[in-house]
Amino acid sequence: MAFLYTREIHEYSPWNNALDYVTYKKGETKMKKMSGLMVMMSMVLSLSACTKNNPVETNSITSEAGEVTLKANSVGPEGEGQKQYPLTIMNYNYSKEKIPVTFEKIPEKVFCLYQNSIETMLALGLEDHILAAAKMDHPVKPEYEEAFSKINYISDFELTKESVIMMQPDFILTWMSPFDEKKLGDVDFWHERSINTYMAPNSNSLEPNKTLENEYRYIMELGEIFGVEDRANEIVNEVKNEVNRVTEATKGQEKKTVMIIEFGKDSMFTYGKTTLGGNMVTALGGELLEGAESTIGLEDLINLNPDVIYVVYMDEAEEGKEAAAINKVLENHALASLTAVKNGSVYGMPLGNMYAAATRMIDGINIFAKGMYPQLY
Amino acid sequence: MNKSSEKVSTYVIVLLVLLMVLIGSVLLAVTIGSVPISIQEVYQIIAHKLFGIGNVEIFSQGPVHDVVWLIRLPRLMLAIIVGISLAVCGVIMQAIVKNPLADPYVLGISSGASLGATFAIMMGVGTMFGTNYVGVCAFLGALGISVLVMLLANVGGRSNSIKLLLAGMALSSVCSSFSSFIVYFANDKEGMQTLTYWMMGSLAGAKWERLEVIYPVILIGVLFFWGQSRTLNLMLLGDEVSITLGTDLNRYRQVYLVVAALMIGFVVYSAGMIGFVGLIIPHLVRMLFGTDHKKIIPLSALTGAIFLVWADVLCRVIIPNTELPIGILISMIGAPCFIYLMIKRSYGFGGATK
Repeated sequence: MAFLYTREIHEYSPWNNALDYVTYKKGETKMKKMSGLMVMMSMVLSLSACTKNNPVETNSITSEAGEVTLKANSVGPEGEGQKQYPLTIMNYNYSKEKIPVTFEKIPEKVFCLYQNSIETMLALGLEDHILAAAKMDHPVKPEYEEAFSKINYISDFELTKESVIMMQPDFILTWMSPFDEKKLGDVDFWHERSINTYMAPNSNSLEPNKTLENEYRYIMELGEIFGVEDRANEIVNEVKNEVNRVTEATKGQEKKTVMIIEFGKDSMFTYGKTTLGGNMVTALGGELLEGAESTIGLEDLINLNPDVIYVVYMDEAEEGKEAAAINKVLENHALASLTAVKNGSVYGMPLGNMYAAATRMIDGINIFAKGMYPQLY
Repeated sequence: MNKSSEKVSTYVIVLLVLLMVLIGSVLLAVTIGSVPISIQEVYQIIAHKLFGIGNVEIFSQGPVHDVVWLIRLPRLMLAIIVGISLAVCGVIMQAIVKNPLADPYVLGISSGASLGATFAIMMGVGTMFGTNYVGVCAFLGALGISVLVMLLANVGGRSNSIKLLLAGMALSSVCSSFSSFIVYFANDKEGMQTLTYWMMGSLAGAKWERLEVIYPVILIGVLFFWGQSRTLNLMLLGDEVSITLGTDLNRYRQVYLVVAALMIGFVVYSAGMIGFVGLIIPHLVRMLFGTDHKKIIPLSALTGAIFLVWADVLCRVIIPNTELPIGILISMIGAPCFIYLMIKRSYGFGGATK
């Protein structure tokens, strides 16, 4: 499930041998070629998403918010010094213990790993602070493209202690998994060298419950570290407001039963209450069936018969992935009697929108809400 | 008389040559890595660290120092000791069970280690052991299983090599099914991922503090076995022959098993499981230098070390920007070499076919 998302999962997946691994690498290059097309597609998609009154794009936010952005920018990270440095943030080490991480000043040379780290930095307007970035799963959201073109993205990055030390960053922003002993090693090695670290709370198995709150905290803490709280607040409030809007509008309605599934080789996995996806559904007032993460068969799915089904898929930039995911349910004759199939309530859900989602949290919320309450849109 | 002294001197020369090759390999390998660092800088740092030559300010800190002294060298030193350990334990295990197919992991050690790692990763057992708690649990699993195998082989009469092998096989299946059971019910795919990655073995986690513990243990183990080469030679002749010669192998076998398990336990602890080296190096050395343990123990140790140093270098550079798991690479290179040698020379395990 969620972990399948990262590239290193592909690298060491029990189902892949060395040969698969090599072909995967090739596939990656192919993906890059297609990325232009994908970006265009996602732009069209997000434009159509904008037709409703709720803003998705940052540049279409109301004038007040626009002023806030301007103000935040003019004050800038090096602003009036209302932030007191050294600043201490509680983050984690590889043993999942909470440890204090102290920033003597605003990080200037940030090394960002993975989609959420890169996109959040760009969303906070911090592209000037990025020393290097690596390991994206798909192109950045269209609104960040311009900023992205300015940063140093390393497409074939090998994650080793050696390569990161020589880069000399002052801050590593990433997930928990890179701090594995065989990759970067635990955080204290880096802290001894005055290189701060930050692991996204919803990444890997850091927090037992992956929640929207954790995602908010992620964005807010980054805002604090870089002195751009206003912008961080804006991103978080956009999501909070949308969740409120939906729950207000659907008050008193009967709860929709929901399942989030992902197809494996010959079984299905369900995303339970402890996943960010599950938390989103619950926050939006849906009832998540099969609350635990488990492997189920077709029979179980028929028995549970949820009102709405979300089929998780990866590599969202690849064409046809969403349709293929949905069709696994729609085209299976054994599932024709499901309520969700009859009502056409089967939707695709890119994993990136509900796993360490950060900037894509709003997209996840929108897809879930639209599926459960189409009348609102 | 003359002939035998000539033989001894060739053996000593080969030993010295291998030692030189090993030192040369390390000096060369330390300049190879994912980041280009000039050869001059590398040697300046090493010279400074070892002999205090050069400017303290420049050579004892900074990113280049960290890469050379804290990442590359410990990794090479780990490759050496793991190579030594696997090759020597391979020789020992093949003698203990008197079977050419034996490798260091044969008596359930690998499944025991996996079970330990599974407990650690899936159920969070042993987190109080610090960052490498998975390694510690694997170590305990490996050691525990070896002891169990030995006890089981002694139940209902004296143990012999066949009983040891069977007990090893049986416990091995028990352990792996328990691992699978835990994996299935934990339903934690992220953990599964970590486990698979862990089991592939890697030398990337090397640290000086750990090497300080591993080196003495392994080197003492190797010296111990070297001193036991007469008994090991007898083992290849079988229990009956040695009884008539006045040596009861049973007790020796048990002591050897524990020492070997301890050595392999440390390898598992520091590098996970690296297959094939322990199987192939002993055969390779026997093919070239005969079966006298007095000779093949030090020769295997050096060959194993050289082999692993180069395998580790290759797995870092063979595909750009990617580190191939070392186990995959070793099998890919090792197996064809092994087959070539097997065809090229008539080779009989244990017996002195030449």
